[in-house]
Amino acid sequence: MDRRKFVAGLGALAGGSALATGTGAFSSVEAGRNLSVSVADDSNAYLGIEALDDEYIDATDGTLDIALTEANATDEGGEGINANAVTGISDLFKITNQGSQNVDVFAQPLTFIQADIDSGVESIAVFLTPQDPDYNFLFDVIPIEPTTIPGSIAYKNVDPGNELRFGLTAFAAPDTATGTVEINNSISITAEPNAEENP
Amino acid sequence: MERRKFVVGLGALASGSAAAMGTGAFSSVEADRTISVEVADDSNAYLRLQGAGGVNSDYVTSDGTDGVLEINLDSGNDSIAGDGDGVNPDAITKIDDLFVVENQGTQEVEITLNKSGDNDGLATFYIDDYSTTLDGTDLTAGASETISLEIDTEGSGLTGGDEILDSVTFNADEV
Repeated sequence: MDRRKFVAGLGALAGGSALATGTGAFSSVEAGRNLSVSVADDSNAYLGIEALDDEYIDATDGTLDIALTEANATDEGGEGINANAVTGISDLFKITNQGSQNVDVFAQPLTFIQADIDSGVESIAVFLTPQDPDYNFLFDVIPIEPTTIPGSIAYKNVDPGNELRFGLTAFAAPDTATGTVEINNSISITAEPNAEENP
Repeated sequence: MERRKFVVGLGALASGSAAAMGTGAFSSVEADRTISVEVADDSNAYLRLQGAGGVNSDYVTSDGTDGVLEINLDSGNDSIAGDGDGVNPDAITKIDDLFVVENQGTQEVEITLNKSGDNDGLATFYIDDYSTTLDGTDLTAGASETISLEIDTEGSGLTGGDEILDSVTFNADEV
């Protein structure tokens, strides 16, 4: 049984080989080609992720990290948001389609909340706020009565060169929130070709 | 069953890949980026509020270096050296250089105040020499002002125990 299988295999191989040489074709080619791929900083990559206000952004490693922290203090010494206050920052960062085709951009989550488990009182909430309300985007909302919180956002049909700007709203309460709560999380940004524009 | 599923999956992947290559574009990008936000003491926050120190620091019960700024001019403040419990009726009380406001953000802001209290209109916050109110003052990034407080109870009819001010909200809005 084993032997018969082996013979059949050889026959098929030989036939294929004869056909190829019969056409006068090359038997093999090895050609070196340059394929160069380099990693760009976020600001120059195909999916551009770039600071608009770089004092609240830590881009030292080439990637955009939103950092409203002591380690990334502003030039004037600001090390974080005030407690018992609402802080709004517009024009924080932007996402740009620096590729060659129309894409859908997804960003999630947009809402970050933490409460001090021990006390159950101190809490912080951070919302990344899309600033292009006229753009054709879709919210995926987390329904929390009596209001809704944007959980993720999808921008449809972002043409090459178009940009989406984001700001931030942060809220910490009460007075004792200093040092007890913080956001330390990540946001996922995805770009995919729009299925209708790129069938 | 398992094998068939696997084959179908491969086929879909292959055709999808071919279509993407045909347009010469990137097929998808997914990037995770960090976001970190801390709550700072008022003295280190983007809007700095800090007791000015000095002779009138007795009125500042929390100077903003360990949490938020608190100013207390009532009987609940036992730190007053002379043991006073509040401002006089029918009088103008000025308290110089009580606290500092600084813009530690990145752009110019206008400071406006929302006061609340039974007689909050009697209290006014001034910068430096009582010539300009803090309410409406612009602060460029890095600029600071030392704030004094004037309380005018003249002709108000207020007597001992009446509340003037309960809280103040400081708004810093981009100019």
